[in-house]
Amino acid sequence: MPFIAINNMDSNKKIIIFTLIFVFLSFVFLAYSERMQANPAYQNNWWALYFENPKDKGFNFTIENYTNNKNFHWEISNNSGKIDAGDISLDKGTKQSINLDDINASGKITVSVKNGTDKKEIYKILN
Amino acid sequence: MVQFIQEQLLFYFSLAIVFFVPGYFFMLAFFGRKNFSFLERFVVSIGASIILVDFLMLLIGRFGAYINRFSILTGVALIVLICFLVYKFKHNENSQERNELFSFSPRQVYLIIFIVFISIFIRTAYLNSSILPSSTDLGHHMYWAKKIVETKSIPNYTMRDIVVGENYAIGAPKNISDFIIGEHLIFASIGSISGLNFISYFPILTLFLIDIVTVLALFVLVLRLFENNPNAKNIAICALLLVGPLFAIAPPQAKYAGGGVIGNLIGNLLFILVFYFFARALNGKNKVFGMLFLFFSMGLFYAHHLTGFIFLMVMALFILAFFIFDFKKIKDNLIDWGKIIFSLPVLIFAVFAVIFVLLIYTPTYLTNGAVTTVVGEVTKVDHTGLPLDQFKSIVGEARITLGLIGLLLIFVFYDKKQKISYLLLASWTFLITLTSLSPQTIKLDIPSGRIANYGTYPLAIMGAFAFVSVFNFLKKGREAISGSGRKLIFSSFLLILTFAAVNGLGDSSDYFSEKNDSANAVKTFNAADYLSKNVSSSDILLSDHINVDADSWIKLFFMRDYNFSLYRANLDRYENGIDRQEKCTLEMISSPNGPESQKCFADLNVNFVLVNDMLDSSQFKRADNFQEVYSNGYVSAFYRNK
Repeated sequence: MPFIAINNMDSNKKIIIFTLIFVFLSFVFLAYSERMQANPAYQNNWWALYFENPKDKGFNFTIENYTNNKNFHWEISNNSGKIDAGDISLDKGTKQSINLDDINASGKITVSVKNGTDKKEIYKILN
Repeated sequence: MVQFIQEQLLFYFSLAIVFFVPGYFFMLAFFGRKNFSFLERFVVSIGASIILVDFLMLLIGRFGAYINRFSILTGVALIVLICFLVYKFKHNENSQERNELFSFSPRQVYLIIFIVFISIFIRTAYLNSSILPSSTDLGHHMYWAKKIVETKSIPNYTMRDIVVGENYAIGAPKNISDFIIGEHLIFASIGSISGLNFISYFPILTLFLIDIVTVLALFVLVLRLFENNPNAKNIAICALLLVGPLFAIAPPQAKYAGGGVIGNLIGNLLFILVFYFFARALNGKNKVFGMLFLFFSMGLFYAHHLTGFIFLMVMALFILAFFIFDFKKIKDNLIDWGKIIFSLPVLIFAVFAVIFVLLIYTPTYLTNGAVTTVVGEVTKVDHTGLPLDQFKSIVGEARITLGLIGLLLIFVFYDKKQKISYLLLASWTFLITLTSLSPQTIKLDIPSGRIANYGTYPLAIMGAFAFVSVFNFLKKGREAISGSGRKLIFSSFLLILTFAAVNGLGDSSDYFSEKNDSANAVKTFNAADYLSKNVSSSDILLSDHINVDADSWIKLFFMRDYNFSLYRANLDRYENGIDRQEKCTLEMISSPNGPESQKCFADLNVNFVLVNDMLDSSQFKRADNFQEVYSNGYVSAFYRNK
């Protein structure tokens, strides 16, 4: 019945209705695609490392994981050598803060994090 | 998933409110169900809605009320109510009148639907790679749209730039003339009604919709321009082919939608509708169409000044051509035109327009004298005109070949009954071609590449006219042509069609090879989100336009100023002596340790820097007074130790 209704429809209406259907399908597809692309965990293989507070003298840092590899190894060191280290497991799409409130150091303090072969470093310089 | 569906419903509801409902009732109030086919009504309603919503928001802002979901919906409801009452009072017919010009055979309908399908399909395939918003222009525009939503008022287009003196400083807000309010109001209205995030699919989908409607508007315009031509429908379908599926991505179409060239896209739609009403007003000697011509012209000037300026030039050339070609009837023509110009509807609207411009909202390009910057001696290299090859590649080889043949043929087949349409098309095509190739001839100081993009539509119409006219001419004389002659005609027809298809689709395939890495934009957004939580109101952030994707969107995370973050611009901007008077933003990233850079950092209080990790972080890592506080493998953020 709907097919017959379309067949009898004014040609202008047919053109508009089909245009709207195509536009709608296209929009739904593109909107869904954008949501996927905007999701850091979707088809992306990266992770982020940052200090909780970039301005203070603390070394608390956060790892955000958007890779399939859950295992992270972190180290904090200064010019004299390693101060502390640890391992954490992070599911894809999650983040975790590492609190290092008890560390009292000066000079260039570097936080190094490894995820497989990928390594990132952030650092603070404290006088 | 539920959230996605909810967002989608709100988005389509907002689109209906902003793009259709007010315009539909507006047209209903003036014409009832007469004078327009469904297709015309649909296309015209969308253009009218854009303008009505713009005017409504300007009115709300002018009277000091908040521009928000409630006020916009209430305003639209009032427009609908008033228009509906006028319709009921003035028009009592219920049925849509049948218009032969817009009655298509089943074959034509299938062909049109197929062309529309391919047009949308190609654009969708292209936009899939750029649907995550990251383009520079769109980022700039969305800042202002978001500003309207956040402040609930019409924005002052200002920015704070670096002032060079003995010391560097962030100056007081200064007016900027790059933006026009009509570019931002529809996005602000969709943002307000739907509540959608500006960093989402909605800005690009909105532009995509405008592009598709523009293609349909062109189809409608061609039918009206050639309404006295027995081949009108074939010319319109052919024009649809030349702007729909062929060259679907090249500017000013999908490429502009993905790139956020808002003014041009809205301008092109309104430009076509202005000509539509112009042709109908003059051809039908109709005063209400004359008023709508003014209404759409006004909307055009509130949306995009460059398109408005080109429209004025085309009109000037048309008037000149019209009176030259019809010199003998100059008195009759002047009387006819006078009857429309000095009619009550036109005069009433003209008074409204003047009051609106003077008392409600004056476009910024009028208040800060930006108009004078586009007229006069050429000041930049890219304003000096294009070589023919470049013009050809911008508008498409098939389109320009057929289009220029069409320009000649329009005089060969010149028909006095269709003089308005023919001369309008000829003026439009000729003026765009001239200003693209040789702008200095008419003392125009505008980027030639951007002007050339305006050639797309008139050349497509001319091309369609040439194609259909030639084959119709040959078809008419086919009885006198032998069998082999007929085969030759058919072969030529196929050959030209194949050339146009290969050229038009090939042109699109070039754009598919462009790399657009949305993953980089996501990483930039992640860093910007981090910085927005850690950069205090006294800190200044510096980012990089050269090596950081989607950098223009960083300002949407802060909403502090149009020029926040400060950014290192493309290098030529520092060298042309016009765009950038300071070099702090260049030096601070290129050589942060240099004495001049150190002074810039200290004077401007630039305490955070966001740069590409691979390309620009090493110089900061070598510096003693920077600490790396964020890294995601694509961008790094540094904090300056004071």
